[in-house]
Amino acid sequence: MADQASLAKGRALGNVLVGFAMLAICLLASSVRLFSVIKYESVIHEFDPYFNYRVTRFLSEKGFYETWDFFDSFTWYPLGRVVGGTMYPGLIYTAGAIWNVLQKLNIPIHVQEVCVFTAPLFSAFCAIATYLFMKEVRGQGAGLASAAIIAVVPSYISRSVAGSYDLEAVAIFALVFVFYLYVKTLNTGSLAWATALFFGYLYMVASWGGYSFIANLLPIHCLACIVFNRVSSRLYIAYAPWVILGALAAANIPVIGFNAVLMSEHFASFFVFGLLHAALAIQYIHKMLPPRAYESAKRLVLTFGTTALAVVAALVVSYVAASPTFGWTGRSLSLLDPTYASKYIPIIASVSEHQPPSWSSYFTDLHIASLLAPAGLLLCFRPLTDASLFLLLYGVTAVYFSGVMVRLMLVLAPAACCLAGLALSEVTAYLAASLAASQQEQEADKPEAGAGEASASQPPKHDKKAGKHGSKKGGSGGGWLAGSLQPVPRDVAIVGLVLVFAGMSLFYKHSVYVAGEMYSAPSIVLQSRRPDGGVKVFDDFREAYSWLSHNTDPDDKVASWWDYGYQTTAMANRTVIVDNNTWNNTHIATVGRAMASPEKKAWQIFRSLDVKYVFVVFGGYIGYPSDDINKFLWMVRIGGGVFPDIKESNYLSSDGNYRVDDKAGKALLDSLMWKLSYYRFADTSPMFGAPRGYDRVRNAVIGRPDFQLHYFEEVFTSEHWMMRVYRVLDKPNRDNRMRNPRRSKVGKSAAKTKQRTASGAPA
Amino acid sequence: MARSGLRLLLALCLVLAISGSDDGDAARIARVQSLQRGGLIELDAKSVKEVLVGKSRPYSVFIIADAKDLRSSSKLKLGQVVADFRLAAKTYASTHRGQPAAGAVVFARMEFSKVKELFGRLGVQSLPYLARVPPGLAISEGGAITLPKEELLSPASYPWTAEAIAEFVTERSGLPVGKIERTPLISARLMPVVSLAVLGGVGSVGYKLYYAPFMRHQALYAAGALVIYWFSVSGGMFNIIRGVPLVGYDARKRQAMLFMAGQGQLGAEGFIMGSLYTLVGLAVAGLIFIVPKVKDAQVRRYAAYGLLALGVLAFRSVTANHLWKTGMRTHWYWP
Repeated sequence: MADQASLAKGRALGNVLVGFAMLAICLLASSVRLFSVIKYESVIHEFDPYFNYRVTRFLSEKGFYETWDFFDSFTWYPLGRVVGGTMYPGLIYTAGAIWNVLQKLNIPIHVQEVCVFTAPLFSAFCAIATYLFMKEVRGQGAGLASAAIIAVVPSYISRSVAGSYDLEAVAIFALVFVFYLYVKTLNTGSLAWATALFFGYLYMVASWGGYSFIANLLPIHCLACIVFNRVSSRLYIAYAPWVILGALAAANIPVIGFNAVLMSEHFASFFVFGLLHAALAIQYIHKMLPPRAYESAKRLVLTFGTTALAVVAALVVSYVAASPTFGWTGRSLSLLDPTYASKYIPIIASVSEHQPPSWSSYFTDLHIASLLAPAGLLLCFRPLTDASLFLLLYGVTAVYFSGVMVRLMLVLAPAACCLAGLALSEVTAYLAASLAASQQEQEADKPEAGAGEASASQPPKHDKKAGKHGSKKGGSGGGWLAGSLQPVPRDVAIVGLVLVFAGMSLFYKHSVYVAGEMYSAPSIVLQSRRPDGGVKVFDDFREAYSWLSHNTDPDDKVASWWDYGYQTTAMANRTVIVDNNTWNNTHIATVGRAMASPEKKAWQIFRSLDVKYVFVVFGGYIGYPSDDINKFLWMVRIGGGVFPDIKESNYLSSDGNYRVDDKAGKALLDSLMWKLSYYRFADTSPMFGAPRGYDRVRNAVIGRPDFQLHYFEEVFTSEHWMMRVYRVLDKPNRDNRMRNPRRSKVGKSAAKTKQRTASGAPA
Repeated sequence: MARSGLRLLLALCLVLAISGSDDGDAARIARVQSLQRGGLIELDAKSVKEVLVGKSRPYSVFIIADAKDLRSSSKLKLGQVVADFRLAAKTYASTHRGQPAAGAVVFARMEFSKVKELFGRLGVQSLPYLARVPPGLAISEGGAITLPKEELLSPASYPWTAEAIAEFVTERSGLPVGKIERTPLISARLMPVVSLAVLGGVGSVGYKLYYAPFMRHQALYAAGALVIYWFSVSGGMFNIIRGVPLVGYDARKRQAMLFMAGQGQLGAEGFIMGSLYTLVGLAVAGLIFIVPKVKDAQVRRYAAYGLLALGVLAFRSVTANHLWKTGMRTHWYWP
């Protein structure tokens, strides 16, 4: 009795400790993401978040239904965009709801602040969800360790710093939470949890396109359970309602709609749904029939089934073989070969987060989690439960797909953290239990010390972990040190624990550094260090956007490369031609073609689109590398994909390189992008002591420094020349073709004069 | 008399010269054709002289450049293009078999390691390269061969298909190549039968495997999971998608290099680092799985120390290499 009471007391103490630890972890998860606000200011980051922010602002002004039916005429001019039907509303409604609650509580906060801090808040929730998930898989210790790792894992930080108001900010939490609910349902077999799973999944499909990962992972897990004879009623309760209700949930999100039953991504779940029924039926029949009858029934079914299948397969194959392309479309190819899209579709390949990661990305983004995960994979087998099988499959599929594009590293991050947390918790538990055992041995050697005191003097965390293992592994021969398992000697245990501590410290050092230095830049405001240690701020983007909003007519259309579309609509409040939604490749290609064309042709294209202003982002003045000249080849490729008159080779030098010096391709020197970027630029470089026309990004003297604009007029250039805004003229300039009267007297041959004018030599 | 004799001699010489060159042309075509294997000539020092050298030739020569060392570059797709060139050559030969046009076009492949000097004479700086040597171009022995730009197939349409090559041949020489026919691996009619057999085979193997006792061993799956993990963190997909070679070549130091600085990676580099990643995990796993089962306390101590040291070493080399690769030197934030 007394033993039980002390055990219960210890457990309660353990729970309280876990509670405090989780509180600390949540605080850490949120606060490590606030570097961006401290170093810069409370501002929305990058590109996509600006769209989300704009819709959230719309939501806070107009309400739920208006947003659901939101048609945006400010973008994709002249087409417009059905925003309500083409976005994942989860994040926006979440932030809107938080804002509404705060308003009800009479906390007058601007909706932008809510948007900025949504991501850190949900990172804390994600840590909790991870704890719950791992607690279901292996117990509290693993849960705590995983939560401690995911709280600061760099990969997740990269998408969830304050201000990074992106879908992933809430989606990763939703992802892990759905996994938790699934495993919980699997472990309990309760319909209540199955219902919760449905709601969790509804939130997930409303939040992120990555739901299709879940929609395929759950079937894989179910299939694995079927193959390895793990089918149970609990599995049925977890899986079957999810298939049907989950598909309904997905179909209710406008952006998915009927794709939930039409697209091949969702077929796996229905297929396995059928298999699960078949497996359960076989199980039932196996129980019902005497063994011999079962065997003959099995033979009968197998024979007939195989024949029927063979006939169907033959029909399908002959049908497929008869069609000229063997029936494979680009889409199914991209499904079979994950490298297809990144190789052949330029609009996908142009985005940097769609590139495959090299080995160093894994260590940068996951650090110690990527090193401990293999141990976690092995630990999933000891013992292999339905839940640990799920974790195993999650880890393996996520790590495989993360290799295809770096963006999916985000899906891998929770898996790697859970696996690493599992390994961390087990190794710590073993070492700590060894330490405790050696201490007990010492106590036993000294009979004067009471055994009860000894156990009370132990750190409660170790006690809890040892106890946990005792209870979990009860069936398979006791806890860590029960049965045949031996403790390591005391010195090894101490060294091991010190190393574990050191490893985790390095992980935290790395993660906090990464959060502070790498991922906190909003990319809308830039910083650089002055030699004297001060900070220089480049606020050119907002300067130019606010110039546009104050100096142009509200009906004016602004053209730029699609990267800046969301920012222009949100900050300058002007209509754009293309934006980051990239749903219409032809439209984007039209803008790419205009940028790649000579001035006159570009002018015609822009006039036909009613464009009043064009801006380019230019980094050659201050050395900002991600400017439009560096992105220009993608404009050429995307434009050339639709309009064959744009040929990439014309924009390259004769040896096939992309360069801006005097060996640059002729089409590049003639292109509008060149002219808008380098207009009047050459004379600035001597200010830095560089040769005339020296580009600080490309480290070269540009090939064509002097030219005139005939169809465009420079109206604004920001402080550091990063944004250059031009007005599209109604009629081309005429005066610029007038000859210098003095020169016409001197030069007799017209050709000579023409040549001089073309090269723009000063008189 | 003397004058008419001179005239006669002149006329005789002329006739002789013409007939002689006719004879010579026919013989030359026959000689060149005898060099062909499957409609294609593999150029070497001797055949270059035979095929190319002379004031003029009675045929056009289409030369494709190939290099053994660049075959591994998946971006260049040399193997595929050369195979298509071969197909075009074969089609041409079969279309014009027995006709005089058969000898009017010669297809040739030059391989860098065999005819380095020909690359120099043609001024080939980079691959891909496919050009026609027109019949009228005088080529001296060992002299440079300067081809006008229109005799080169533009790399804009690269990778060239057999059809594109055929079109180029027709455009330059005026002779049709004929319809390119790619023989499929299996004919369409046989397809259902073959695929049924494959399906049945896979099905029965799967059935056998499903009931095979070794498929129930967890170790198999554990190893599989580790291999997938190792492959992915090695950037194996990066190697495939980008077509990186396993080992690079440092042109400055003139030696093979295993690691390359800066972004991206080499194949072997990735696999080495992936192995180091996995090694840390395996050391930790060893500490959990193996050490507790060792009976003898002293052995247990050494085993545990060994595994810890292994883990630390692998961890150290991962961090050191990562620092070298990315230049990311982290620091603490002390208040």
